[in-house]
Amino acid sequence: MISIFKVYGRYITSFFLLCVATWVLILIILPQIFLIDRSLKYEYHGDRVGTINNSLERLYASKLVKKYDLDFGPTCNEQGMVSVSMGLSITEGKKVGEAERECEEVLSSENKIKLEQEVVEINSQIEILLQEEEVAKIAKATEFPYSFRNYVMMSGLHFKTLTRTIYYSILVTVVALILCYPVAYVVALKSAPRKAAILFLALIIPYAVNELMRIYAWLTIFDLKGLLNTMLDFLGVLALDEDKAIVWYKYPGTVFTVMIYTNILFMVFPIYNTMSTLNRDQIEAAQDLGAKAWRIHWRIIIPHAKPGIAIGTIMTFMLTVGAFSVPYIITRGLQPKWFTHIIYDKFFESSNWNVGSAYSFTLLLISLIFVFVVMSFFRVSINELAKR
Amino acid sequence: MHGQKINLINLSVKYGNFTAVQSTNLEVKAGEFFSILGPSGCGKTTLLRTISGFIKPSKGQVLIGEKDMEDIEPRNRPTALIFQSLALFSLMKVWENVTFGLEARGVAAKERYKRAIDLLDLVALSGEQDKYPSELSGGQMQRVAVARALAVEPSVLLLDEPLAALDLKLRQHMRSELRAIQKKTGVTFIYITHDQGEALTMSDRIAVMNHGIIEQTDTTDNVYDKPTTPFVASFVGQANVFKGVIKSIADGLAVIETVHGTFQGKASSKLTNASKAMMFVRPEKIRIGGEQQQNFMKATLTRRDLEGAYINLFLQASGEEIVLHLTKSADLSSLNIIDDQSEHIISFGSRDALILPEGELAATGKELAND
Repeated sequence: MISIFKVYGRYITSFFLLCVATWVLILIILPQIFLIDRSLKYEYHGDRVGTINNSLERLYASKLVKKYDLDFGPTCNEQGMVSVSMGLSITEGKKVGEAERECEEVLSSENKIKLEQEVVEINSQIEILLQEEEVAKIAKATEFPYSFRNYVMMSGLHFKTLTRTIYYSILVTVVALILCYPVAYVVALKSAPRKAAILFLALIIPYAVNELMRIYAWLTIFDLKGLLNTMLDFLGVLALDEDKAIVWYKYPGTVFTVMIYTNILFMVFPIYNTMSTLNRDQIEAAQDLGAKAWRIHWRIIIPHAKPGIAIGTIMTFMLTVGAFSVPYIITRGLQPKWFTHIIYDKFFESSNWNVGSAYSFTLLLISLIFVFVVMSFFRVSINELAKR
Repeated sequence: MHGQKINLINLSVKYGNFTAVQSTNLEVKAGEFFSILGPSGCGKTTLLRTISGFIKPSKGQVLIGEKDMEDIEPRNRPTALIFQSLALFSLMKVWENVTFGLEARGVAAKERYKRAIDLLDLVALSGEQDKYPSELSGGQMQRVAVARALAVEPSVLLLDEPLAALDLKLRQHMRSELRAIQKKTGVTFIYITHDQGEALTMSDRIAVMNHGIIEQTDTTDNVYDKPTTPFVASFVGQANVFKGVIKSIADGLAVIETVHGTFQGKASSKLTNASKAMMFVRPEKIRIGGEQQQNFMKATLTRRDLEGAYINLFLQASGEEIVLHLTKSADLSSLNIIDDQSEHIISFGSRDALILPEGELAATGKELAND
């Protein structure tokens, strides 16, 4: 720490430390604590306090109605019953006047007394409940507020969505790895430096385009009258005129394809980076010693590129599992939701932040587990990842 | 292990318009320690990589043990290459490195481990089999590379300046070790270097290469004593060069007229009368004094450097620098060469001077430094 001060001086160092502290505290730790706190608190309206509250609210409501009736109530007594029509009096002003005139004579002192007695009774009930509420509240306050109920109450459908999301994310990651390894190999180790630079540029250019635009580009391919269907029509595989177009959005393959496309660079780059640090002489030495291509990959290139493969795998998986726009735009409700959509719904549609927090924290945990599984699979340590 | 001979027949290699190796004919005998010596960029590495099969010749043939190597991939050739960078497999242990070639040939791990220990014994690296290359010193890595190449029992070992990265002491030691390994195994060694000292100490024969052409192929002694071109004369060992014009040629001796006077020296067969020529005299062949000699000149002493066993004297004559070596044992004070800027007579025998037709010289240290 002191050495940093020495190198960069008092002001710059303090500024940076402040920035880092703000970032870590406000943007990482606090939201996470908030999230975890919310996710562990179970919001339940059926407990003692909740039921008392409900009863109280009901009592307050009926007391209000009865008071209204006493003061200006159109209390008509035809069958010996007290009928109230507050709603009517608000909505149709003219008719109210008529009703009042009709009923004015019928308002008997007998009824008045009865109503007053009822109000008194309600008041006493409220008193009792308020006392009970106090007791219940104290009891609840001493109770431990945290539980894992938000985590274990996930419905079967949501759980299915979660597993499906993870399943497809792993699949996307694996396919991306299979596609990217040869690409990275050709660019990093097979091409002359000049050519490699051009290939590298070609890899980057699509990523200069906005993500949404990249996704929309795929819509022109997968649309009902998009490129794919038109081409199949042209080849005579299907007939667009007879409404026999294939609804590509229905198939998981479409989300899958677009997902791979949008994330492929995050797989290529780390692999390319580690691969390009391999001394090409090692490959030639292996060739010279009689090794065939697969052995050179297995024994020399893959072990060397391992940290890059691990980073690429982790990044691709994280991005896929947390994807929102791709499945949202591509599926158009024709396929089951991605888990991120369910989290979104919990937060902003059913405003149940606690359950939403639990869901997103579950996703985070699964992603972390994935990271550690990948790292132990590739036998890569955090240190090694940081070095690359 | 048996060395095999190598023949290059009309071999040329082109990269686009650039000719890296020009129509070359060369024979390397079986079991020979053969060096290809030349400055960087002369095409020697290209030549080596063509023999190993990584570069396809544009024309001509490579024969190893009479067998044409065209269409035979590097991994199927009876050669093993030792890279300048050594190219050890950094993520494999020493024993895995050494026996990688055997692994590729499907030898079981247990067998390979045993073989690795034998090979490491051969290169004086016993007990290091379970280390990683990064844990070894430069000289040890060198030996791992040699063991790895020998493991596949090649007939020809190709070495691409493998000692370049080592410091002087270690380099000198490794020279004798490589030589010993070559003698012990009988494998044909083709050794690429730009260091003439290295080539002279280790090799049976040397080919001196410049601009993609082999200028001379001969034994080490002959290359040093009887260079056939000005380039070889100036590249191998040190030489004082005097430019001039031939006055007469007779009995294998020629007379050359230079700015320093007229001198007599051994004539190359290609010399013609009145043509431009160069006379080469090794620094150790020049003596102080000797007016009675046929070849002598006056020169001013400008500097003397002590090199340990001998002393380098730098003299100036007609604006040209002349170097001469004196052994330390010589009585320097009696020669009166202590004072700088003193004038001296220097001389050399006719048999110690070699006169060749004018040609390109190797770059001097000064020119290299200015590059």
